[in-house]
Amino acid sequence: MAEALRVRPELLALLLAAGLGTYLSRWIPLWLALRRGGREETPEGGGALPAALAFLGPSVIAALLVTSLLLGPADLAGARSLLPGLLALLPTWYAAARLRSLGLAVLVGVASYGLLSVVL
Amino acid sequence: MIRPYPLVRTTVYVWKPYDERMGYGRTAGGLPPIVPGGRLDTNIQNMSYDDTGSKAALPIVLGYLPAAMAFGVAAREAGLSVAEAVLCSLIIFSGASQFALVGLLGAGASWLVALPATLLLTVRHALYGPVLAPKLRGLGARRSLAAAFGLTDEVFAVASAGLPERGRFRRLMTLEAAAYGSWALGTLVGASAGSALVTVLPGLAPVLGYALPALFVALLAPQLAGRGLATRRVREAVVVAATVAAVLQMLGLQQWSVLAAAVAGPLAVWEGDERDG
Repeated sequence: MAEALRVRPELLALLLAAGLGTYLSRWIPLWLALRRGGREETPEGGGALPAALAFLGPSVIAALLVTSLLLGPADLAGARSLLPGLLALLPTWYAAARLRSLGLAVLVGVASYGLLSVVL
Repeated sequence: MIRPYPLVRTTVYVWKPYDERMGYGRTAGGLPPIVPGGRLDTNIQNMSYDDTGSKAALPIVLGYLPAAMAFGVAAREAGLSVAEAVLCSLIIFSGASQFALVGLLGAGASWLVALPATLLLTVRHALYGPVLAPKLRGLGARRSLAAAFGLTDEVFAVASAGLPERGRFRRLMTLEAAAYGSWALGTLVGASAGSALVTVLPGLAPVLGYALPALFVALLAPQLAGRGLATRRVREAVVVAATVAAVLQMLGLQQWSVLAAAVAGPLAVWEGDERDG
């Protein structure tokens, strides 16, 4: 029990440093962009960057989709075949496009994946 | 579960045809129109769902559990105690960085190597602020300090796809809190149970983990639906981004995949003559 609760000071320092760095990488750009927000309303403000930002969200989501499919959360059960993951995209996509409900689409996706990984 | 109000809003935002000649209004995919020489209103939210916050919390919670459990196992294998593993998740709250950190520590790297490598992975977060800022317009300093802590990739993905007009901050914080709780709990379970988990939950973990890819598909689908110039360009950006990410992943450079895709996607469809009116 004591072993489980052991916290090495030097590791804690490392975690705090990494945590601070991660936090600042999230907060500083957000804060700067929020502050800039007022100035972008002027006719001269903005330019090409805000236009590009509209595509950044979907691009990031697409990248996350690819990495989560190809890598997945580290599989506890061992190597996971790509095929069920790729095939389950289709019913998920269909559900998202037709049902227009986020929760249902995810449910359909997870259920399809479960089914396909058993069958395949 | 079907309420008339969200159905109406979805109809207005998703199915209203886009008139490119007019230069304003919403595209069928719900994105702001981007017409060369036209006006781009970044205040228009890319909302295709009534609100993504509360509904999207569950997929993130489900998806984070197996990932966090896996991290807990990995942290133990790298020599961390249960408390250290949980602290790692509570303090850093970034899957990519945490896995990299314990991987390096387990391989015997000193903190001089592990810290910079971990921090390098956080660079992609710099893109999240500017994308979310228009949706969080008016957020004060204190709230931004709170909102920034839980801005993980998945929270960003959901928030960028749409937050409700009212109670944006509260919805964002609910999302972050749910993600944080799931991440911490999963780490605790993984670190405590360890290899016992592998035998007990062989099939369940990957299935739960599919909640994340399913969530991303569900977020993308409405943004890619419909006709119109803007939606076509989004599709192009998405294809480029996905390809870049896949290539880097297969080359073993997955830590750069999100950042590279985030740059490549918008760059591929960038037109220099666009102005923000």
